[in-house]
Amino acid sequence: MKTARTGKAVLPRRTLTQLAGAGETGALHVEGEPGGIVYLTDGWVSYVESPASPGVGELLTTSGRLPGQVWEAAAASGDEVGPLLVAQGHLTQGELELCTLGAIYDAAFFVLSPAPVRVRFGAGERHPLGPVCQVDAGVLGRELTRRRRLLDDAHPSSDVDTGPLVAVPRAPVPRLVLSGAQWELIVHCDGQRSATDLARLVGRAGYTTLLELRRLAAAGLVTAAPPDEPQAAAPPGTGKPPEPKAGTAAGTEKPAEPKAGATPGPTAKPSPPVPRRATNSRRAVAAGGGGRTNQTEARLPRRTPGQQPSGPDPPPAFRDELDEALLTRIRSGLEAL
Amino acid sequence: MADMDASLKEIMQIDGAIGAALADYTSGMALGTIGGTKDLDLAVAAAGNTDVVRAKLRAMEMLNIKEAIEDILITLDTQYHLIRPLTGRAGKGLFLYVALLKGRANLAMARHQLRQIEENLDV
Amino acid sequence: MSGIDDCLAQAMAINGAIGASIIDHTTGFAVGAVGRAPTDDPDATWAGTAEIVNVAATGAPFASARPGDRVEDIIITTLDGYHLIQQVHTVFDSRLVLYLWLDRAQGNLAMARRQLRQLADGLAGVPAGSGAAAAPVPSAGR
Repeated sequence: MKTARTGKAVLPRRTLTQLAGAGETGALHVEGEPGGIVYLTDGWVSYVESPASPGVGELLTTSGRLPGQVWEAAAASGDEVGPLLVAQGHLTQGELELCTLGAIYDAAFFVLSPAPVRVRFGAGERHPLGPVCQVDAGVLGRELTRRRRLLDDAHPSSDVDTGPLVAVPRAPVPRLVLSGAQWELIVHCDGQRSATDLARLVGRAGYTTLLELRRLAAAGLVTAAPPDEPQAAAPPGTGKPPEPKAGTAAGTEKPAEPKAGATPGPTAKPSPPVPRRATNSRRAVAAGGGGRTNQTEARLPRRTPGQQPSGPDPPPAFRDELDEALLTRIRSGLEAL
Repeated sequence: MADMDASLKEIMQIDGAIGAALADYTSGMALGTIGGTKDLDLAVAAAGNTDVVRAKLRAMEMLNIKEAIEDILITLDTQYHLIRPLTGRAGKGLFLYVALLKGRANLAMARHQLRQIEENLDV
Repeated sequence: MSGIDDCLAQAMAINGAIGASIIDHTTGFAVGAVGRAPTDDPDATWAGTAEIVNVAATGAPFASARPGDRVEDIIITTLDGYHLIQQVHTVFDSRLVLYLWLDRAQGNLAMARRQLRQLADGLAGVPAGSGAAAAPVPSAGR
């Protein structure tokens, strides 16, 4: 088993293209923020995982599609998890394929970022999920480029992509229409959770979460949390900032665990990105070109309607003023999705 | 030929119809509405369906498709929403819209009737 | 039972089918596609379809004040055929639709619609007959 190491930073996409062209089988470990692993089988991308996006196991368990124990048992069996679950009748082949494809494209968006990072290829390494899908590296790359453009079309600033997020306390317009996915995000934007945290919490794809957050930012509903806010609940000294995932229902934490066994990637191997993620994220925001200006821009709308002197700091009672019928409508709309 | 009010009344005669509107998809405004129940907010419906028509037109523009949309049918769990852009020159930018109760509507018949009403509509 | 390829092959077997695809309606990405697309630029077709689904999914249910009234399908009739867009209700987060382009003269709209519904349910693992089974909201949110 050979292991190729690259000391200097490279574009992970370029390395992937080379490996795919050579028909390699193995795992491309990508460092950086957030980093992750791309698994190749005979030059085809067979799986991708990243700490920034939920994997197949998380998608299936947080949604309630599979009980945590079922996933755990399959992961512990030593067999190829995906085919095993289908063979045992827990999943249909269609579900497995759709879920895996979704997870691949989602994780790839974060792993194959356009920034140069250090990579390492572990030849022969395979993902325990087993053979489910084969994705062409070129097709994958083109789709990622398109997705990046979609993000910028929604909101041309990365100010909500990393760091903690907060929902604006006052709606910028008197009447809003939100999709169910957007509502889920808004209620969990607590000034501490980042886009990644939110995606994992609600069991939705990392990219679509990012896209919804950009839309919400463009609508003036969500902004990056101001730097002075999060420490309220977080002991400032602790290296590990408040891990929002810990606060979720038991159902979320449980299923995340088997991943350690099933998917060595995000939990075990590329350990550096995980702890660093939260601390570095704010810096990433500040460094993001134009991030700060756009951040102000995004926050602007919440002040414009504030005619009372209390402006940016409305009383909590504000919520009660919301039209009850509207809330009912929003709820039924949400249920409709 | 029938005017808008007569046409809207006629639409309400379609089996299962619970509300109808003639709307302008450039503005999202309803020129006229009829019906509506506690299960259907017509103003919202007209605006919402404006978005659907616009999206389709935008998509077709993007695709450089010259052909016209005849109708758009959106099926919900309990309702059908049928949208029919006006074809005449005077009706450019307008569409007829009807919401039907799924359990009481005959979809094929409803599409047929809406087409006839649209053809006879004089705006 | 049926995987993506089987599902698309069966969609193409529907009388009058010209093209079929499974589209992620958040991104406009075709997870799989067979047959012809309405234009030379299939990507634009998927993106356009995605946009329609998005506005329909967020717009139409609001018009219906009944809780739980979800968009099941969208059918667009044009001169060159019927464009059927059927939601794929996976329990896990996926946001997919099954799209079928059906020849107007050769296709049977009512029949095709039924068959497409069955295919979408089969793909999503929804037991036959319970196509409206609601995808539960993630329990973690609190």
